Amino acid sequence: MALDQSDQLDDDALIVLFANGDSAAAEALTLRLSPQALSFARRLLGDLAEAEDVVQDAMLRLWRVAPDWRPGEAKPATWLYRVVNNLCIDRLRKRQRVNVGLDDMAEPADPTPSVEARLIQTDRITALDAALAALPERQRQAVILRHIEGQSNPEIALIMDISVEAVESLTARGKRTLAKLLASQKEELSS
Amino acid sequence: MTKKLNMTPEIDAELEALFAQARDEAPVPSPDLLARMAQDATQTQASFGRVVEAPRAPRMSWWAQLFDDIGGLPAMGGLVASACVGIYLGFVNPDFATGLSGAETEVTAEAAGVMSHALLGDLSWIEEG
Repeated sequence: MALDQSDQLDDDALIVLFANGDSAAAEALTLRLSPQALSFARRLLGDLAEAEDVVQDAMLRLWRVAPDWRPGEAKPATWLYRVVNNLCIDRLRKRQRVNVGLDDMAEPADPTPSVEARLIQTDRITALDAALAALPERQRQAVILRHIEGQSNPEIALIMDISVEAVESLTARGKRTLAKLLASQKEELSS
Repeated sequence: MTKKLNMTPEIDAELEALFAQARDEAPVPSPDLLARMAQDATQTQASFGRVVEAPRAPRMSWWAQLFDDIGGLPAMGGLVASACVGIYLGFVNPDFATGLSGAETEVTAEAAGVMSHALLGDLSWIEEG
């Protein structure tokens, strides 16, 4: 298959072609799926090099399951988001940056003064990244998937293995907390 | 404790503008990452065609095959035990074997005699009748 023909094929068909030995299918899938996976991992981890490792690992898992892939069951993009999400959670937990039970808190604590001071000299995106990093783990995942990656609530529910109602609750709470964190940063900048 | 914040349309719009900017500035996979992923794909794809052969059972010699066909170790144990009993009876207690055959003869003759009396009785009754 020529690479330019791959535009007419969906992800499922490309995986089947890959499993049947078509090397162009691998390239097409990589170009199609890896950018969004990298974007998601980068926002979750806050580190591009680590995010690249996670995406490589996730794509390798996709190559390995290709012969057993059942078209029509799960969307490859959703499947990949889910793998990336789990790999990122593992890395975040290894870093011990996440406190157990943080999601249970009604409202997260304000960023530490050192984080606030650092934010004064940063641009809007860095401020957003810092605010996202201060969110509880699951709120952060849901907000990134919904508002930055543009996934639907049912897809996020599949990726995070929770109900659609839980996704709605997490995104609403996450967005509210994010606004509060950004507002406190703005106050710091203006004072 | 943090202050309560109401989500107004202005705050919502401001957040949405930030999210849109974040979408525009999403990282692009570097050539190095693309090369690593392509290498993984090629290596994985190469392994799809390999068929792992199941290990074959080792071939048996003719005597091992024969031993196996007649029942293996349990059958051979039974044969040896029977042979030993036969040898014991033949050499150690021959009278027992002879006596057994004599007793069988007497019992047979006695049974034949009973039959004869019964038949004779029946015949004598027929003659009387």
